[in-house]
Amino acid sequence: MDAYFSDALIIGAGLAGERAAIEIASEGFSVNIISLVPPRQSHSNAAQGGVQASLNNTKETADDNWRIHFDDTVKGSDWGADQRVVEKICKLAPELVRQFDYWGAAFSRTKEGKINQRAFGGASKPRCAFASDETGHILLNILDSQVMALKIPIFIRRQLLSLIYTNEEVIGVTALNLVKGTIEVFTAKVIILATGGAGRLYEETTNSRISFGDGCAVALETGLVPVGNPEAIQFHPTCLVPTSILVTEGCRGDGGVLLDKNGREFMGDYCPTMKNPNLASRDVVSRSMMRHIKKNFGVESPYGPHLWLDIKRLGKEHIKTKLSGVDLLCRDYVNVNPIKEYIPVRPSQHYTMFGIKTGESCEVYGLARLFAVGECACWDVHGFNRLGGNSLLETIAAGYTAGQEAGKYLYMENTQNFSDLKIAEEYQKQTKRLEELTKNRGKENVFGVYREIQKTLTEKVGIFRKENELKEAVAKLAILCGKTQRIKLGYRETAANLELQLALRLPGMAKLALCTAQAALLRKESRGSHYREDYPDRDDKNWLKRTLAYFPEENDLPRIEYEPVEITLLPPGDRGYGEKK
Amino acid sequence: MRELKVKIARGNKNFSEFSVQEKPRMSVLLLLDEILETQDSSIYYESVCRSSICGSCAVKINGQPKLACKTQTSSLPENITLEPLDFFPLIKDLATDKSRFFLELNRKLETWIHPSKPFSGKDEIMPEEVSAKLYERERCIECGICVSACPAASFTNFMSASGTQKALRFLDDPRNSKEAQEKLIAVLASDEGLWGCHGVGACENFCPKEIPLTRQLAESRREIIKLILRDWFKK
Ligand SMILES: Cc1cc2nc3c(=O)[nH]c(=O)nc-3n(C[C@H](O)[C@H](O)[C@H](O)COP(=O)(O)OP(=O)(O)OC[C@H]3O[C@@H](n4cnc5c(N)ncnc54)[C@H](O)[C@@H]3O)c2cc1C
Ligand code: SF4
Ligand code: FES
Repeated sequence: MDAYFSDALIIGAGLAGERAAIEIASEGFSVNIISLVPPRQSHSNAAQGGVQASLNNTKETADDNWRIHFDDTVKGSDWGADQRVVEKICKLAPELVRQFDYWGAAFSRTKEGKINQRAFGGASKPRCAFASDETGHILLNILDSQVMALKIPIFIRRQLLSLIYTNEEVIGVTALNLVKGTIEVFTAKVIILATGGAGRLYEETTNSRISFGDGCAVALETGLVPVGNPEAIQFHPTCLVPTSILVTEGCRGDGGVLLDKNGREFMGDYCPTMKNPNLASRDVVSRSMMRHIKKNFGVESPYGPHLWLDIKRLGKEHIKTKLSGVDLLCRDYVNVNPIKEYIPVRPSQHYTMFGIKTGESCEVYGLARLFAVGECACWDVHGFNRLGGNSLLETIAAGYTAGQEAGKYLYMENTQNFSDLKIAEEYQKQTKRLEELTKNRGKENVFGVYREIQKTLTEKVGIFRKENELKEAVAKLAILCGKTQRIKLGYRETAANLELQLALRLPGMAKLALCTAQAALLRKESRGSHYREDYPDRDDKNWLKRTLAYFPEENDLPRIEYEPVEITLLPPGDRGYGEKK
Repeated sequence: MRELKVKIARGNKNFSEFSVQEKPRMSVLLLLDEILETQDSSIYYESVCRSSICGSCAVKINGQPKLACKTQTSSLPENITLEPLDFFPLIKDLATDKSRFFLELNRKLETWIHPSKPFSGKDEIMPEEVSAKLYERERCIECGICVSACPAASFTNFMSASGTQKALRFLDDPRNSKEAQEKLIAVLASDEGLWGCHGVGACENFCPKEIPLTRQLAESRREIIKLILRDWFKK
């Protein structure tokens, strides 16, 4: 058995994981990182538009401050966010962003040489700092350069399989070495999950091909850790048709508009009171687009109806400098030259507001010494709808916060319930699981079950939801959960086997999907991105609360509980987008 | 739509052959998915972003190094041969390990800022053109194509076009310390650096990010000579 020990162990090498690693390693503690892929390939790399921070660097943001950012975020979340956490990150934002600049990030600049800022949906001030439209690439490169400078070891091509814990305290994890096909054990005094989003639960998503939600599923499978708001899923308005590759909201932030098949701007029909209805929050724009398509204003295509995004009005110079990535993506993937032509777009899955529920210091509910950061967590900055640019902010704010907290733990040196027996047991259990899978007792095809999970969520738990479809989804997913336990592999080696890798994560994914469907069925109101056609209004009297979904091993269905949502500064009110339903 | 004849390298000069019904807007990556899911689940390849931003999926397509996710089957003949990138250690079938090469390259060049003052918490002023230039030099996605396609990078100690990009990026950054910059000038001026390039031009032809690598190499040589001369005169 290969085993590795460090003070802190971090699962995931995206922005959130690496930011946490830097914080801890800078204090002199040893840190190991494990990741499916080399750090710079993590999906943070694909973030385009920017990161929100009230820097006051432009004329338009001179009177911006953390409180305005806070109000925007809470309204965007439809009052689902934890206001204590939102306050914390809005206050941290300017310094954390400037720290990236200090480390060497190539942010786009204003004429005066300050970090430039652009507009994003739902933000009342144009406050997103950016690096053209490859902000994530630039930020991740720079963060990874710091990880290299600190010589933090990264174990790549490792797939997290399970958490090892005693007396409700984590002591390690098991992982599959993807190249060797062996089970490895990593132990540590504190562990931080930073495994990113779960977009691959849906057929059409902007997320990477490794955004399976592994960390979230592994935590859920302990039965002790709840997933917060599993029904809260964001659909981004402007994704390329076909491929669902994202076209950043920065396009509309910079002045691009949505058009229908007649070349007409239509967002004003749905948000008549907004000054720029193209920049309403994502949930509102996505719903309006789908309503407009339903009214037959979509453009027919072999890949289904779509609408147009017009950025050619911004001019060649602007596109070539501030939207160069979009320019390349459009030419390469849909054969459109955005300087001269409209871009075909339609909403698709983009972000999981849900995640491993954590408290104010990023500590995971239900298991001590465990933290979760970034998109895999529900710290609850975003509630039921995330604002663009707030996720990158969350990754670095959470990485920083969890890193600080983990450091405190390590300084205290209080005794851990370390147990060699538990470690040996879990290693045996995972080894056995591999053996069973490769013995091929089942009959279900891995890819078939995977595609069915995706299809069920896509068709029945999408942008518009209603009771009977949600019930069907729950029933279907419960059956699929069973099927994930009876897989038959076509290829039975444990090394370098894509089919096996998927088979190992499939049971957790099915459970996660079931939590989403079940929580959506139970929440009889509409809030943010969770839209119930049969309950179209927000209901603060009954539903100003957060879902906590637990999935104990013996259960067939998740156990759903609720907790109150923290309201500290901004009581529930109108979001201000004037959405016509 | 055509019936594609696909040959996939399986290590030790072996190939597996498949025939696949072409679909509209099918990338080579989707073609591989189709084979994996419906014909042979033992084939191995890597991919993450499927949008030309992570560099993981680079393979040889009919002999040319390209991104599988970016290359459309419609741009290829009916017979498609897929092989792993040259130069990098093979993991299995089409997957190679490029990460070790890039980790060592970055470590060797110390591609991080060596600050000359502590973090002030305030905005540091940097001219627009300077940050724009840094941004351009940082667009490399470490796909490895310019390394594996370049005879000098593969067979001599030339650090590759990607390597010179990286070195220049940290040389041009005013936030980097003088000593760090001098070290970068020294490697760039050696045969590992700008003078190691033999001018084959394969890097620029194949770079999926359309980075004008050969032009930049030529310009950078002039700049480096200027810098070295400036330092001489100072002495
Ligand atoms: C196309 C796109 C554009 C976006 N643009 C913006 C934007 O402009 N502004 C903004 O604020 N937000 C944006 N977002 C959202 C934001 O980029 C992500 O939410 C954020 O980067 C997630 O970072 P992370 O560190 O949590 O996860 P990731 O960057 O996804 O990293 C996850 C890490 O976990 C590892 N991992 C996963 N599973 C396992 C496992 N089983 N075992 C071991 N390791 C594992 C992976 O290898 C990876 O290193 C965008 C998202 C997308 C998809
Ligand atoms: S310079 Fe271009 S070809 Fe070379 S590694 Fe970077 S992106 Fe790939
Ligand atoms: S999958 Fe990322 S570049 Fe092709």
